[in-house]
Amino acid sequence: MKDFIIDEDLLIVEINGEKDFALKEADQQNLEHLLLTQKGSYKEFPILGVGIKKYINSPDATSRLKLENEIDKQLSYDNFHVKTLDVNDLKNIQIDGNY
Amino acid sequence: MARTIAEIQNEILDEKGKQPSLNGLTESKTSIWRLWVNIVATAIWIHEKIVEKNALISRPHTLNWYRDQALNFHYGLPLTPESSNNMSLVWKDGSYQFDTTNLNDDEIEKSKIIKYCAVSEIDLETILTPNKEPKEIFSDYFHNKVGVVFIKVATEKDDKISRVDVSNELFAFKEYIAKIKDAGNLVYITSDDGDILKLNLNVYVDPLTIKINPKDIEYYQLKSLSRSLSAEETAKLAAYGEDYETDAVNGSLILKPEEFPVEDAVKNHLKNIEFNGAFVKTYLVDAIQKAEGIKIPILKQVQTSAAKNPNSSEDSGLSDVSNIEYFIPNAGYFDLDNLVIDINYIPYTFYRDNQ
Repeated sequence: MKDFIIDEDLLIVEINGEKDFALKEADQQNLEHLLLTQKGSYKEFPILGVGIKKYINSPDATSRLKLENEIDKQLSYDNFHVKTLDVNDLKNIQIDGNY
Repeated sequence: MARTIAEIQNEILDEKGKQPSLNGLTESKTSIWRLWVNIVATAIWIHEKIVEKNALISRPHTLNWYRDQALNFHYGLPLTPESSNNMSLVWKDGSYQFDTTNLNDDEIEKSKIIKYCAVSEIDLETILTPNKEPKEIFSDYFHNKVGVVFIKVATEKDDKISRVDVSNELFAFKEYIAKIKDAGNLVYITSDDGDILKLNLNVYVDPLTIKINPKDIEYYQLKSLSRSLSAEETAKLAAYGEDYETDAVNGSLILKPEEFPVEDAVKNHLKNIEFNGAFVKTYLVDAIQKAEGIKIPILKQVQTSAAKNPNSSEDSGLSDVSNIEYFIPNAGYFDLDNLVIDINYIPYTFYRDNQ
């Protein structure tokens, strides 16, 4: 599914020389935003957003479980069908599935 | 009326659905395009709110507009050369406005003397032949008649609702309304002392909660009867005499002797009627019913009269309005200082009386 693509500075990314309103496959971006945003970031959906930053420096296993649970919940709230989800390595979270 | 954000957003989404070229967009809640739709819908919503507010207070002079202007009246602002009565009005943005330059918020707030205002439209006849008797209200009474704009105002003195001082303030206020009103409109402005209210109640109370001096019970019972008394009963009542004083503690709570639930409930209810709101018999009874220790409140008699005009020597006298289900006080409010509540306290003990 397509959407506008924005970079880390929230600017629209140039695609094939077309800068304004260029569309591109956006599933990856959707997941990225879902994980990064805090709850309340989206005024329309106040409970949307994992807020992954809060979990990053927590070493113990229970918070990993919480994170996995939270991601799973948020993905299904966003109508994403999860096949596999692995957060054991925070540097390399594995999410497999499709919208 | 302004639409909600969701309504506006749905309309945008519907419109988007009609464009085949936009079919491939992702439906994810985090998508950028949906965020933009939400932002645009919010912006339109704020705009509609502003338009709605503007329409409400805009130049077409509705009753609401008159009310806003009255509440915005500033009394005693510095005199300007053109001003004839302690007011300085300037023509600004297409209407007369008060010149509030060089004044701080406190001073502005202090000069706003009109605290309560009710504006209605009534037929000319009511003003030409003022009928002092409160009458039953029909919706027809307020609508669809060739009307006079009728403005009742009141201010606050010592934290109590009170009339606007007639000789100066009301004069200035009338002058102000005359200046800003539409040409040809009839405007009738009143500000009176609160209406007198006299209530007569029979209240059956729980004797375990509320104090009644036993010596007064027979007196209360005789007084509370609505049938004509027998000769024996009349004699008994006469024996008490006109000036019989009941115990002052009657009606107070046993645990808190300084509280009188019935009187407090009545006063509280009257205080909370909105300005120019109707006095409704049933609501008053409901309010008393909720008070502590009250079993059956019965409103026997309601008497009211407009307050005595300082210029008139004669008292207008109380009129009995017990048969009117609801009425609006002449001044828009009741004078709680001159409120008379005559209560017959009767212990609620039927189960023993029958044995």
